[in-house]
Amino acid sequence: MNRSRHFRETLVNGGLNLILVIALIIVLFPYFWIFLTSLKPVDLVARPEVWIFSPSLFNWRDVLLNSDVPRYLLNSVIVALSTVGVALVVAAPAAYSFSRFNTGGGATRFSILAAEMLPPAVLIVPLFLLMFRLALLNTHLAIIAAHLTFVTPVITWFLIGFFDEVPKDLEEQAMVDGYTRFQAFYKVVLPSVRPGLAAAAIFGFVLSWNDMFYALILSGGDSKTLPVAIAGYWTFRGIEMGKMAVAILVAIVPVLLASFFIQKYLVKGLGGGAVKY
Amino acid sequence: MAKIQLEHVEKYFGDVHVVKDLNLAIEDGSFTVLVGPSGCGKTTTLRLIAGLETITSGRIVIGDRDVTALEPKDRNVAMVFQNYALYPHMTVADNIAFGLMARKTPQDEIERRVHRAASMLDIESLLKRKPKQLSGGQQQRVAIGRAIVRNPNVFLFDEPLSNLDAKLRVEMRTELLKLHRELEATVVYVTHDQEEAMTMGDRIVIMDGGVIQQVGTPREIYFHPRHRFVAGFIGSPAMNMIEGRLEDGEFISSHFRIPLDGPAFEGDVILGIRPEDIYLPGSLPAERETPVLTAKVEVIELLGARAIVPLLVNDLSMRAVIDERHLEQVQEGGSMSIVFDRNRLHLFDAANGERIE
Repeated sequence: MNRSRHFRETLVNGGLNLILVIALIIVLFPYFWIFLTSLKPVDLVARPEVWIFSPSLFNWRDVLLNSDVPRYLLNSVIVALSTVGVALVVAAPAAYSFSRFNTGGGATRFSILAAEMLPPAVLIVPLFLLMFRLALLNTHLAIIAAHLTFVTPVITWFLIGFFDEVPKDLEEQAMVDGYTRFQAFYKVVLPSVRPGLAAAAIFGFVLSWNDMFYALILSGGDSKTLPVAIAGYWTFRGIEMGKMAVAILVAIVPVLLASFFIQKYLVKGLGGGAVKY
Repeated sequence: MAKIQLEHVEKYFGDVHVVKDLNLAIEDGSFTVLVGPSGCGKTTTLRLIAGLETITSGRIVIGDRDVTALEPKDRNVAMVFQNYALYPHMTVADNIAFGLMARKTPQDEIERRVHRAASMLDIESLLKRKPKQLSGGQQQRVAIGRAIVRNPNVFLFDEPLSNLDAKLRVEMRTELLKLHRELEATVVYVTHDQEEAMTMGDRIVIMDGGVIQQVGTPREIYFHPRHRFVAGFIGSPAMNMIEGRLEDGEFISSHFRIPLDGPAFEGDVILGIRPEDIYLPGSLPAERETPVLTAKVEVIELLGARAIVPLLVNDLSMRAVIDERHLEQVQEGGSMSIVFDRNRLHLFDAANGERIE
């Protein structure tokens, strides 16, 4: 009996592992394929059925050293970091206020997501005209402003749940201890939702990082972001698959790095229930 | 240290009238317990004193300062919350020091005071830990340490022991009382536990429905409840309440009659008898015994030295507390003779619940 139970457990574990492996393959295979493509010599790039070839670093050298991709990478970093920075500064107090004071009632809380529900195409025309009038087209500022329109509401919404979980006692204790309400927020409440802030930051960063639509229309030339640049490898002469593959991999790295460093917070944050006593 | 005065304090939450024309003077250095059922306004009153709620009208004075319009941070009060409210991201030492840092106390002074508070509470070995790594009792001590380190005018406790297990709770009670004596501090303590109120308070304020029902020493409250509510709330098991009327100095209910001397009152009343004031005939001086009644014993709940005995007196359910030594005369399902202690009968006006002397 014991043996059959042991056998069953092994079977179940094996089955679960198999599912995990399949899931991993589904997720990772495209990356692997892109990586292979980036190493293919020019004549093999358009032939996906070829698996065995002698790898060449030609594409990598060309993209990293002889193109503007590094500059677009920098643009993307500037835009994403600025967006996240501004969004956090606005979203944290806003979320706190929704959570603690139910500011504006349930309707307001919900309506901040309105921008999220519109197709971006609706917003882009007014934004374009606005930026044109302000002479901000083709600048980082234009893209940052556009990204803020969807990043801020999302992370505000995201953070409300975290503030909900901070016991009210905590800030009241700080106020009795001699701090103003704002100091209590800053010194006690904010540190208590650190996992949420980290998760929100990553979340916002990825949203901004991955956007092509707004960046494509509001930027150009020097202010281009990386997704726009990647799309740029789709030229009149066809897709420059090898170089595009390199650029795609370059675009993935920062997000991967950031997630890695704050994964501890990220798991706690995305799992919710971050602040337990 | 300071006295506290609440004058005509009113508090509304929207349309809900939570505290109604509250007048209370809390003496310097006293241990005052606010007690009542949930929703009676006791915690709100405490929070009004702390400044965490603004009062709708009235005045609060701490020491000689009118603090009605002051922020919590400017009232120089310390508060211990039910859930301890320890800052999760700080060590125990930083938690205790947090209030001193707000007041820009010099670093060496902070360290000295934190260590003194920690040694008073026996938590010196925990100073470097985070709150998560502490047991409930230890967290409680840290919360108290955070309060005493500031040397405040007033200590406010909001049900601080209700999250501890029974044994620890009794220990902490004693410890809090010792601490109170040592610090000679003014303490306002909120609890819903009448036993805690009786054992800890040197003055008890009983609240119900946003109104103070009685203020007095534990003895006064127990032996001379001024209102039916107070009589029923304090004491465990609860006082037996028997509806009836007074006629010609005699208490008449559908279950029994007891001749009384004294009250000139005529009309509907409630007779209150504490379970511990019910005796077997012959255990009291004769002049204190009421006429003998026969009761049916339902069960016997032995507590040790005493037993709670639910009785039926002519179909009226009552509870008696009987000394274990007399239990051999009592049998479950059998009948027994009982008398009440005349000196300990309480009469309340059935119309408004007020005590009749």
